[in-house]
Amino acid sequence: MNKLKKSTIFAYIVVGLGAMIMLAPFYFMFIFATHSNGDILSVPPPLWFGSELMNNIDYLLNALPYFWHNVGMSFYIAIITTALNLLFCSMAGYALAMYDFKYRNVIFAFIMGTMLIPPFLGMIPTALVMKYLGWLNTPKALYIPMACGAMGIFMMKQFITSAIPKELIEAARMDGCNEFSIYWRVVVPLIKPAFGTLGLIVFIGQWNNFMGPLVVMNDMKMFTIPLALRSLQGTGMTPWGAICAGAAIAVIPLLIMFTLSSRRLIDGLTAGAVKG
Amino acid sequence: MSAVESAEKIPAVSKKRSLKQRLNAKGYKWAPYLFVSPFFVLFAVFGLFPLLFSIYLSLHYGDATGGIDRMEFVGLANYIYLFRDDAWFHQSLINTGWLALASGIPQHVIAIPLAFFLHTSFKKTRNTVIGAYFVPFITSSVAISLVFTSLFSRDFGVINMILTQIGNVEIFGFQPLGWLFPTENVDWARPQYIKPMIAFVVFWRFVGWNTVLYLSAMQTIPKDLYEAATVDGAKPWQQFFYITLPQLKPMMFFAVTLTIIGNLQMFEEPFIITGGTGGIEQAGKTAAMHLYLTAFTEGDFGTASAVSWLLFFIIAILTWLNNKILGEKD
Amino acid sequence: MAAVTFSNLKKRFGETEVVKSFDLHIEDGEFVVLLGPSGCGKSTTLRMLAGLEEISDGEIFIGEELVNELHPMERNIAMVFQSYALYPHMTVKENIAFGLKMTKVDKDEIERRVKLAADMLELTPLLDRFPKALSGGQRQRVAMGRAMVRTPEVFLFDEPLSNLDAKLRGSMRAEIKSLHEKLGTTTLYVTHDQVEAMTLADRVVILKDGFIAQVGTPKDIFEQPANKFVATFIGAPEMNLVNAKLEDNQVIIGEQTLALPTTYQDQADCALGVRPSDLYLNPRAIESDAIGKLTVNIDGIELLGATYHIQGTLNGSRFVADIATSDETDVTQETGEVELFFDLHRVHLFDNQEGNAIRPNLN
Ligand SMILES: Nc1ncnc2c1ncn2[C@@H]1O[C@H](COP(=O)(O)OP(=O)(O)OP(=O)(O)O)[C@@H](O)[C@H]1O
Ligand SMILES: [Mg+2]
Repeated sequence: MNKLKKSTIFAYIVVGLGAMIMLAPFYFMFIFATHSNGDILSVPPPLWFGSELMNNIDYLLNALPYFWHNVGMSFYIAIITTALNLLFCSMAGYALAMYDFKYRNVIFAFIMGTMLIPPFLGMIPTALVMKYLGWLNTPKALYIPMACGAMGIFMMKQFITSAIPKELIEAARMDGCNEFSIYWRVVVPLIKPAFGTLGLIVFIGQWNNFMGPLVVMNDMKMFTIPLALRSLQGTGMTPWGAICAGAAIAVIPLLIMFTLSSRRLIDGLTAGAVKG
Repeated sequence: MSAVESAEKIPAVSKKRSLKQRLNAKGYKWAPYLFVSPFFVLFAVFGLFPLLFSIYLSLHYGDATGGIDRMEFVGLANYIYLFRDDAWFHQSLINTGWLALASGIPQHVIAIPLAFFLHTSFKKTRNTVIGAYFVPFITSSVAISLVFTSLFSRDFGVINMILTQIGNVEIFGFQPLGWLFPTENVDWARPQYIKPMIAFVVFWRFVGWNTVLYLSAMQTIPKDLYEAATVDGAKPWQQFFYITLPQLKPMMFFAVTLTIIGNLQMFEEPFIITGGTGGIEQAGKTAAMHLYLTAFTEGDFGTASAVSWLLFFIIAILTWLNNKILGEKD
Repeated sequence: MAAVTFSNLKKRFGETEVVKSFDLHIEDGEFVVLLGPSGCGKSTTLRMLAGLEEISDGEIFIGEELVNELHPMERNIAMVFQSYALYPHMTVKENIAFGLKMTKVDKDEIERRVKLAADMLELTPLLDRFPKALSGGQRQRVAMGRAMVRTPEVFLFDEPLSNLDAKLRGSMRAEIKSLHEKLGTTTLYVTHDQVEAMTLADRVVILKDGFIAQVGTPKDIFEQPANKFVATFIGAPEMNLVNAKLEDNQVIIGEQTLALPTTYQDQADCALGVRPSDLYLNPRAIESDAIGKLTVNIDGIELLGATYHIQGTLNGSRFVADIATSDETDVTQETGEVELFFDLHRVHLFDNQEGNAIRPNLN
């Protein structure tokens, strides 16, 4: 009994240390964001908050004159992408869940099949397509192609199937709704929880998107945060304090969302992946 | 039944109905197609067309940014070049394989027991602990790779500091851990160290994700299996080996497949950590990076497209092999 | 309000035809119940009238208008679903008003009609609640209110009471009945519960495998079933059917003979039907000029409160009798054989080929 206890305590310690290792980079990111480069480069490095945050941000804004615009771009693109996904995915998911129509199963299988296409395969031609369309350096080059993902359709279909009985749709039809108003007045109000989950997933995905903006944005002003941050690299002496301040700004919205909704986010992501 | 006949005789009163009314009446027939159409329109323009275009590009040579008519048809020359002559492509494939294994295997080796321990021994604090392990998965890989670059820097990096302190622990003048831990600062940018560093960052980002996948699978294992085993006197570690592991097999297959597919596309972490260059001697350059650099630094869209298709086939073959080895046999 | 006419209506799902040539005329204001076993096509028929299911063949008229191609809303009908199908995100009031809002009825009129319906259904105190805060019976009433306010020409019900417990079902049944009496709206009501059908209907339509087996008043259906299917489907316990022969107006069952009071065509292979509740031990309990007698082997006797339930065999077929305990004879002692008496005017005869009822000769 005693022996068993010892091993369990040991395991708790290992898991706890592991959790600290997982969180340590975030900790240092925040610490470094408040220190000058000189402090960061000293041995041992700082382990507690300093007072240089404002200087670091000043430095950041000097090196990246459009930084706040870049932050705005990230928000703008992520929000539009999210809104479009909620609309299009829920419409498609509704159709696949509630209508009996010819080729429904083929259509559904096809949509699921597109998830197998790895993103890098389209990287080059997409960049060219955007160039021909004249969409380079415009936000729509990022939100239009990502406006309706297969995973979102799948999640919506699953949720609608389980949350809305067919009779409800029929009742609405009897009550004089046309097909779009059934969707808008009956389906949409009832799938708000799924909107929350899908919205978080899409927002985070687009916020973190790096490869997409990398190939379609080359004007500093139109950069999203990840692009802006990486442009700080390799400019002589790396400004670690400023980079960490910028990284913190990129990560804080995600940490807030995660803290508020970790359960829903984790469940949504695993369910989407496992069943999809 | 006479009423039926009379109804047939009276010509049906058909009110004049507008086209809109008639369309609306059949709404349930065409509406579903309308509802799924955004996906197909978007997929045609930004999914299917680029794929076909990329096949076309991979058979041509020249600078596509000047217009595709400036390109010259070269048949399979791009592919042959990649197979025979492009040493850096070969190097990048080897790097990708190394990184995929070095970051992938530990993810699963640690995630499974971790999930088991979380499942059996954590109650109230479980969600917090899971959150700590999971949060790297949802954070910006660019931001966090930059932070790691500073943590791994040679002269002042936190990681070097910790490692050398462990390595320099002296007991009676000996350094008992010196063989395992470094006694001097490691220059992580050197070719032999850059790969472990990248692998660690990737491992760090995905171990929580795999833990969550395994945990969700463990929660579906019926409790009475464990109860029966407890009655039979099985110890926790025996239950892990004889009940949990076999029951986890489908999830292992699934999670390993995801890891294979994801790791072979590894791009962001090595790209940021090596400053977009691939590092000294290209030691940290993955195939996806090679693809990017060939296209956007060298301007060779044809070869780069060929790289993307070769990489796609490699992923497809490995996924298929994984399916053969680990997948359900039925 | 309007009459409804189905003419040669058919429904196919792929290859299988689930409604086969359905012809029916429902009078204005009539209450018609579709009754039949599970899967016989009741809901499908109702849903074709509602416009929720495509019509494969044939025609449906509401009043004099052909409605085949009309949107459910244009048909001016209302439906109460088995699961009630209340909108969970709307209050009771919004649920009731939704259809009016969709058809652009003006605000004051909506208020007026919702109030009227709520008063009639005693929903007024519940108007601001959400459906999940209502009991089953209250939800049922909201569903009816939602159908009512539209002042439809036809009411449709698809097993509206089957989600309720037995006691509530009885009172809701009465409520539906009184509502129909008040409003007088043409109603088509689907159920597989005979009691509902018998108590509610002006006429009952019995469906079997997509065919109409019989149409008639509840009394007709019970007393003059058109075929063996209806005879055994209606009434509990089920009607006894014994193989027999018809010769010279006599029914011959093995060694026993019954002389019938009416004249029939001879029939070599037929079945005699007697309802268990029509059987007596004491011939004096029957008021009739023609009393029949059959001797039946007893397999067992159970006392079920007000009745004895006798299980027996006659000519190789199961033969059951329900005897009122008030009948003076004490049967619990009986073993072996028992003599059962019945009114010969209340027996049924069916031919064994088609299963159709054999009617007496008219002369
Ligand atoms: N969408 C459909 N596709 C294929 N077959 C169907 C479909 N809907 C109903 N059916 C079949 O049609 C037949 C009649 O179904 P219907 O729902 O009308 O039966 P019902 O009489 O209402 O039965 P219940 O009392 O069980 O509700 C059944 O055999 C059913 O399986
Ligand atoms: Mg039904």
